Amino acid sequence: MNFVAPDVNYYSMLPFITVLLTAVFATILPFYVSRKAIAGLSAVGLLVALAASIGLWNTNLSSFYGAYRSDNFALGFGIVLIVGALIAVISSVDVAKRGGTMQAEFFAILLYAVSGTMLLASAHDLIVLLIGFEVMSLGVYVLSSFQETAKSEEAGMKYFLLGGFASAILIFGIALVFGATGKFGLEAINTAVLSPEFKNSSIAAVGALFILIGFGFKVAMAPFHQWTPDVYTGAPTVVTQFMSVAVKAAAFAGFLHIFGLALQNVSGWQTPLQFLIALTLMIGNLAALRQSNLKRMLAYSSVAHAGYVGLAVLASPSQGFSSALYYLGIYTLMNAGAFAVLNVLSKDDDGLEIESLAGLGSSKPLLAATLTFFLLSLAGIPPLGGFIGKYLIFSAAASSGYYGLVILAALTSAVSLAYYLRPIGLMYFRPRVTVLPDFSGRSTRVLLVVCAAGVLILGLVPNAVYGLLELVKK
Amino acid sequence: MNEFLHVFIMFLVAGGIGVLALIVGAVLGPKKPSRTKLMAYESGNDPIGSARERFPVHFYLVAMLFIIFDIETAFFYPLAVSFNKLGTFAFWEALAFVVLVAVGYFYILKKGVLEWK
Amino acid sequence: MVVFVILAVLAIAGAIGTISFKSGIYSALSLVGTLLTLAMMYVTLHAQFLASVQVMVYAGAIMVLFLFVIMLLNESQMSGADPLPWVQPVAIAGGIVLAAALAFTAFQFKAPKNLETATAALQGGTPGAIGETLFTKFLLPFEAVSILLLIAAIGAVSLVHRQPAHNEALETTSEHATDNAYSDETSSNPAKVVA
Repeated sequence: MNFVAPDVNYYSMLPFITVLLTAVFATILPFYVSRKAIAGLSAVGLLVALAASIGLWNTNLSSFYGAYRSDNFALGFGIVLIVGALIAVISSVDVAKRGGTMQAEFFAILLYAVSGTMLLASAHDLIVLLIGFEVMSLGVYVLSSFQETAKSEEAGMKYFLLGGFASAILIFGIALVFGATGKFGLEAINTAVLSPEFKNSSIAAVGALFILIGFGFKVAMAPFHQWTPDVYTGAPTVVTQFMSVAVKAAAFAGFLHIFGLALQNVSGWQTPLQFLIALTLMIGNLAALRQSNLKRMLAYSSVAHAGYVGLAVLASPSQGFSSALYYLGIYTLMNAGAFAVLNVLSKDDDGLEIESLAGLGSSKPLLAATLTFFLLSLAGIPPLGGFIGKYLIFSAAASSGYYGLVILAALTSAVSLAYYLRPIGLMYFRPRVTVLPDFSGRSTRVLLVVCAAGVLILGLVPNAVYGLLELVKK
Repeated sequence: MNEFLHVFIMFLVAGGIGVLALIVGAVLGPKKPSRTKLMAYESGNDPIGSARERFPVHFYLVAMLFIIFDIETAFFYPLAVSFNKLGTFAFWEALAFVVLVAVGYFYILKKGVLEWK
Repeated sequence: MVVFVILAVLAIAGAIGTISFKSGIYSALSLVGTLLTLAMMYVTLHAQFLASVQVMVYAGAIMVLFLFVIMLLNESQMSGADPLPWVQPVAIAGGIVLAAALAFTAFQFKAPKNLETATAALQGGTPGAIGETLFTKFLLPFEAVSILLLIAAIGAVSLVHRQPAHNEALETTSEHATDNAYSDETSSNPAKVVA
């Protein structure tokens, strides 16, 4: 009997376990209590998990032989993910107000998906990472088809089929990397690659390419972004909001982990990734220019933002990790905020014609002002957070020598001004044409102000938070 | 590989008997087809409509749920075999696994998926 | 090696059959062939438990689901003109290039571990050996899989049974009338047909 109990430290997994337990209660309790109570329970659970993440900051605990790590990278991403989920939970309250039906399972599945994203961000082992990835994906597939309309069901089906295919490619890539190195642990893979006996560099390179495709799909990088506009437009707005921030952030956490920790010394993926980023920046920004629907425009804009964050994957891990985290934190606030405004302004889940925003500045000053904030920040206008995020990522990529891509990113982000500024111009300088509904409750209005304040603070005093993130560096 | 030779031989024999029975039947049997003989066999009743009918989606859901619990069982087989070695720790871990899946079962039951209407 | 070549040819033949048969049933049965050959390959690789699970879960349970889908849809719905006819030649060419590239890299493989010790550690791939590894080294993936199973079950049910979990959980009263979610679905979704 040489059995040794594995190294389990539940304390290090506290945020994850909290979210999971909340999800379990959100599964069982809807049989007994009202939906409002479930929304409250979910919000409380997420807040507790947020507190636990902050409490674990700098403790660097790990569990399961280092397969699960609560280092500052994981905790930072965990906070971003929890905030993204909180915004979605608060926004979902407005859906009922406008007569939409969000099923009671929404909260449970959302929370399971959040637990998957947290697993993905904390995993230092390819198998755990993959399971987190799949839990997140399954949850979001279901959520996308939650509205009982043909469009929403089409979105879910499309996402599921293409996503399943991308997952298969990802799993194949993981299998090839494991076959080449004989290891699942991220650091162990890097050690194996660096060891003089390593002879499978071509197999590892093919595996890296496959993993690149799998993650490229999930973060919506061109040419694997094809699903994004249709799914983002067809899915319920609250789900799109969650998908565009939390799923993207978690996928980037895994992306950064795999390529920054495990495969940084494998050659062969850097050049394809540069092409992907260049294509993403161009397609995302140019296609967003031509959209007349705000929801679809934001979908393409989120493709473009995948290109910006992709630069951080190319950069050296010491700078890339913290700058990507900072960027995704701001992106969560501004993009989820923009979707929250879209959600309360539209009467169904089909989004909103940009033209119909005309005159909103005088009729709904708060919504117009916060939307202006979020759009300006997404465009990267200086005092706001989006600018600092872009600056950090560009400088991280530039210091790794990717000047061409940085110039392209700066150019395309100048192009993006056109489509981000147009709604603002319409809101303030055009007379009102259509009367838009306003379904915002008090919680949403508070949320919008908090998000806008966050975007402003992260832009004005970046050092306050970025100084903390310096600790993310390995 | 040798330890699987007898398994392989068994497969061969089993498959061979099946194929042989078909061939012998086809070669030796008399062939006098009639309409009644060519009808689909439905336990002596006259067949009504095509056998390729569409199934209610309910069956599919139950089949899908079956797979989920089937996979759960597949995980417990190794646990059962090595339980004496692993001890109570594995028991608690497996219990955590079961409890989570049981939440799903509770949900399915309460939701009335397994009730046939 | 001879065994491997026979199994590989069978597996590839089954895979080609899966995508080239017009009838869904034939495709599904070809897939069964591929899955069973894979199980046999696992046996030759000393992974007995994996082989039996492959037969049980894939060739058994999941194939039943495939056949269910084929029976849920009418066969007539599955034929029809290819909306993107140019995809097929491109896909074939791309598939051949990919297969060639993968085959090329596969021949460069050098085992990262000593094969003898790795095979010995497998202990013939018996459930006992797997159980010990599963509950020590791979405990976290094992526990995490339960979340995956749970969300799969809840997700599947919540999409099919679209009635609210409990009447109290309703804020809009419009759905109160339909206690029978089954008939409610069929009216809104033509794909889910009651026979």
